[in-house]
Amino acid sequence: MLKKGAVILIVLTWCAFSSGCRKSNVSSQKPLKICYMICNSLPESKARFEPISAYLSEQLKRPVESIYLNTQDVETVVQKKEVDFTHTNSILYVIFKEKYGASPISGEIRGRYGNKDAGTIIARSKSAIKTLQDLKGKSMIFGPSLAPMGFLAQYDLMLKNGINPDEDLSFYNIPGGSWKHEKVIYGVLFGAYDAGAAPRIDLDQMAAEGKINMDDFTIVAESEPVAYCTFAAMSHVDPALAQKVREILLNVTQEDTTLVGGEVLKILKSAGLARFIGVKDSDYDPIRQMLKRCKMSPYEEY
Amino acid sequence: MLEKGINYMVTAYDKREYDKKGCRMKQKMRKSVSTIGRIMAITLACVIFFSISLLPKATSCIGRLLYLGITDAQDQKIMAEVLCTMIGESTGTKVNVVKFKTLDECREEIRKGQLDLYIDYVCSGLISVLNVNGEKGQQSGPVTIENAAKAYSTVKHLSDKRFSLIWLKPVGYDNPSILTAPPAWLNGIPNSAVCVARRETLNRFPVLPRLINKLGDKIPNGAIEDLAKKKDLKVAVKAFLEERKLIRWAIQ
Repeated sequence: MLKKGAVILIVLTWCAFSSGCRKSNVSSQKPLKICYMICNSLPESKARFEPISAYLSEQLKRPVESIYLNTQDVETVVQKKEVDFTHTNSILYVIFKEKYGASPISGEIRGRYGNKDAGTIIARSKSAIKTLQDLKGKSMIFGPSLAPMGFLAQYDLMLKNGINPDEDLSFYNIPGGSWKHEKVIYGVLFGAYDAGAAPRIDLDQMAAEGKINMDDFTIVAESEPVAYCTFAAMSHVDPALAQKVREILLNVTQEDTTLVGGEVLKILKSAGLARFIGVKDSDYDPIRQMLKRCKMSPYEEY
Repeated sequence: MLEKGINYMVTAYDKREYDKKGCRMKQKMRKSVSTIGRIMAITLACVIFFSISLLPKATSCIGRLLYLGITDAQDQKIMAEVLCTMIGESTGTKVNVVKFKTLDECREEIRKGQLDLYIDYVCSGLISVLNVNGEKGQQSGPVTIENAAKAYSTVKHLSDKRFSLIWLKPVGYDNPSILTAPPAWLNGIPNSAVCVARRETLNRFPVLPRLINKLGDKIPNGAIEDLAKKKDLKVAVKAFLEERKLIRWAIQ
């Protein structure tokens, strides 16, 4: 009897494992791996980018695997060639280009500056801070230190105007956890800090959503708009495949949909984009100049 | 295994019943209970194996964590508290402290990329860096070290070049006791404490060197001695940093 039982169990085990295998055999091709830098939070990023992966999978007729990582962890998988494409901010793109030979695939139109954005330094409108010079001796809150519009642009703007944030501010902080840009804006609004470094796009978005009233803020300074979110292909990716992905993205329209978790979703609407746009490496030169002036990677000096 | 266990229970049950009555009715019952047991075993096996087949791939939790190596020395514990408080409160980044028996173990681990930061001392560190290439034996010394600034710039340059380790600004205090027999070429040079970090770590946390360098010359020998006397180091360090405006509460 035991023998019979054992045979049954073996058969069941085989069935169980083969069912798992069948699942992956449906798409036997090696999955294309896209690493998305987590923006505000993991759920927010997944909601925005899963439709893009699903659509690319449909169009390419091969599995596409999304990998979501914190900003500072993306370089590890790029370095190890564990991903084929990345969707990151422009600082990471420049690092990947300079250090690992990545190529730009597309930018995305979103917000008042198209595929660019600017970094703002904000204060409460009732505050006495009206110019960059007024920031001396004041407290400030920045976004994450690898954020082009939440740290780099403002840090650079201050240096260019003769203010060294590390010496001239009374102190500055970076908030912990998710939704850092919103925390910066609220930190200023509620008076926890004298000034804050916020991406223009986040200010606009929060105002549009009714979360803040722009009349409560003074924009003390704003950087030049520079390239922002970027799809990039890693150096090991076949150029023909990179070109195919570029074409698919550039041709996505507001009406295009895809199936994610049994739900039909509009790709661009889910991602909060107007459309994708072609970009070239020289579009990122202003970011390079900022990184050089601030001595940040890939041009770091210690 | 499961089926064996159920069979055992069934057999035990049957035996008791046979002992009591030994009737034919119980034989039927045995058969039905045995069948139920097997069905249960098979069902359970199905659930387990199908669950296994549907399990997602194991994913590691990659978070914003830094690893700081320290030894058991009092000043190292104080510096760990200083760095954990400062980095945590100013950037929201958590620092995990890893304890080692010796400073050499810390150096070995950070060179292997297992740590992000540790606390070293200029003269001790210089000797260690030079030992790697067997330069210690040179009677006249590997380089001319006229003063503390030269010792610092030399160890900073060599550590970066050889191990991509960045020596940030000396924090202020020195630790002569760690050098039991300083070589002649380092005579009279203070063994200043410095936070050392991997270049890669600093690149990924650009605010980190800016923040840690604010500690430059802020922790003199007297401060270390005072902090060492405090019962609650955590509270004492926080007060120390607040007094010097090196931290303030952060939004979490």
